[in-house]
Amino acid sequence: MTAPAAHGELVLGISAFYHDSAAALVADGVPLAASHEERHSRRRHDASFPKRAVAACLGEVGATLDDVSTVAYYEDPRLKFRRILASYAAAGARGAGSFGDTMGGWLSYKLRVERTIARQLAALGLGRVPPVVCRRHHESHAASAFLPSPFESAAVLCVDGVGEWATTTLWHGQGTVLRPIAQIRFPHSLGLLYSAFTYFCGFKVDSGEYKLMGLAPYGKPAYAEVIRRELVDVKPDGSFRLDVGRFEFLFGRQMTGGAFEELFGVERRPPEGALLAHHFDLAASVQVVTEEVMVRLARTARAVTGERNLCLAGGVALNCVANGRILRSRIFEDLWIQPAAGDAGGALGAAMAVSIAAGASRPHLARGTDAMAGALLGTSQGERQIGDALDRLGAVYERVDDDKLHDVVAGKLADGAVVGWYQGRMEFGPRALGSRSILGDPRDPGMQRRMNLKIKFRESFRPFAPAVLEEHASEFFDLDRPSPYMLLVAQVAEGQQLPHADGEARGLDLLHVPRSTIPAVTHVDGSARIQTVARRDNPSFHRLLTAFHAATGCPVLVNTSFNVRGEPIVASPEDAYRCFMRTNIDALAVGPFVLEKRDQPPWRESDDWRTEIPLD
Amino acid sequence: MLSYLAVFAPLAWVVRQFHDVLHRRWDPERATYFEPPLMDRGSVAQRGNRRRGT
Repeated sequence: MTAPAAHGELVLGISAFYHDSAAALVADGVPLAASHEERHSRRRHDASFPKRAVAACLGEVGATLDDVSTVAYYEDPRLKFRRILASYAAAGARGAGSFGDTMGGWLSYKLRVERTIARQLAALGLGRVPPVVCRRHHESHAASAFLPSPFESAAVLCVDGVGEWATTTLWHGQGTVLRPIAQIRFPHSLGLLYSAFTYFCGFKVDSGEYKLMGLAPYGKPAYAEVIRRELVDVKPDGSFRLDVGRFEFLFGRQMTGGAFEELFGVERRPPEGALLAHHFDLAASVQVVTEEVMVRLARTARAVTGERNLCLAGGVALNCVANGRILRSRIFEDLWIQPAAGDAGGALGAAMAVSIAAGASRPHLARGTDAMAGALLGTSQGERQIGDALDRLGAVYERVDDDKLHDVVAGKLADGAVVGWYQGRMEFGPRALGSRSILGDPRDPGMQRRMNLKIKFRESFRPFAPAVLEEHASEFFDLDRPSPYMLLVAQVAEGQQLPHADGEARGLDLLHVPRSTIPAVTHVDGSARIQTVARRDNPSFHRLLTAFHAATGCPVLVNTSFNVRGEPIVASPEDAYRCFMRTNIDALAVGPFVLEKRDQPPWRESDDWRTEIPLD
Repeated sequence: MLSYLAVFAPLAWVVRQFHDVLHRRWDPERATYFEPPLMDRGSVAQRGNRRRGT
């Protein structure tokens, strides 16, 4: 827990009941704490009421519900219910199969969400329950994008699957005011288009989109013209409509059906099925079309608002390849993306909106920074708490003074070890940013394969991302500005590229072609999803990178999230030790304690733990 | 299935009149598919901001 401090009027934001539940605390326009429920419940994409996240946020700032003036929920259930009913009306008899399941939840707890939330909060026993208000879904996204941004004014673009009705919204943010300008409504949704291809390529919707994006560079956009001609009509201003009849999501059970198979001449890939050439090409094709739409939308945002800065949120804003394309288009001078751009960030946005409406300002603007504190808004544990946990687990560890810790860990990394790094407050948002990370040497050509297969236990095609000292970023990447939240993709700098020829290599064979001096973080198209690390955002991680740079001359580390596939990022010393012992991670640094795998007692579990974690 | 049809069959036609967005097709004559934003009657931010004169 961070040191309790006097805080102003607290607003508690909540997102829940669909996917990625979360809680956030804001005081006088300043985010104090935010956390995903999944991290605490250990259920990936947990959609249940975030009771653990609420308790964690309050505990982190030393507050109770008595200190909270208002609870802000991230969407309007009544408006959303009307869309659900309209969808079933449009679906006709084909919607009957999912109707009962859907209505059960709506009529029992979703429709009167204020009452549901009040009941859930009362059960926590953390004080009296404050009034609950609802904000619109895209307003919550827009607030999460603009209000914590470092911009006094900006264009704001929110693109997702769907909120109540809106799937794409354009806003103008000035000072503390967010003015809505235009929208596109369900069922015409860029997020659902991308999710349809995610589903068709055999990945899970709402978690597999990231994998589809990573698959795209292995293919060619051979189907892009089919998509433009048959699936989505895009106007020059970026507005679009889907051919809804080609999709199945109106009927509730699945995203695509026979119409897709007929259109592309292939069957849907079964989950965990073999990845074939056309899957790579489908991924590349929908990625290209998505980028085109996003760039056109950005152009329209610039033209309509006249602003030089753009803020992004909504699930599609997690498509960092598209974000990089917007940046390189030079439509805007600067770009800021909410690190928790998906629905979890709606909790933060709703709280920010209510806080601002109650009279708060945006005090971070005077510092010229954003208000996200490096996205390190989650929980933390002190030395004693960590030590007690390790003792209960029977772990063997060495305590290292803070002035030596980073050199010790950097030395292990330089020797080729993979290290679990658990320090400070947990990240808010899907990316690990050097607080709950697994780290490795990016110069090692075998590191990508080793980490995928023996540590993360995930698909071999998936790339890893670099963390780089901000002051050295431009030496390694074609990036001329900070990227603190790993939401921008750019090319590895020419000076780091190796001469290579792909020759006849196709698909996954492209993995074996060395492309740069940092092969473990260079994707097959020469790109990287970059995190620049500044001392002000994460001093400890910056010190570690500095120590690694001093030891090796390389200011870059592989930074992947501290978890195995299907599991949420670790949130406690116990989670961290368990993941450490279940995998081939060589060493663990949790707080001031350093652990070596070879020193640990045998790890015993009664069952095969891999069967307990649903694949994502 | 039967309860669904009994309740929604008559409503379906009514609802469809008010939510024709679900049935809109591509229109090459239109310059844009953007629509105006929904009026936000419940926005505390809007009311709050107006009180502050911004």
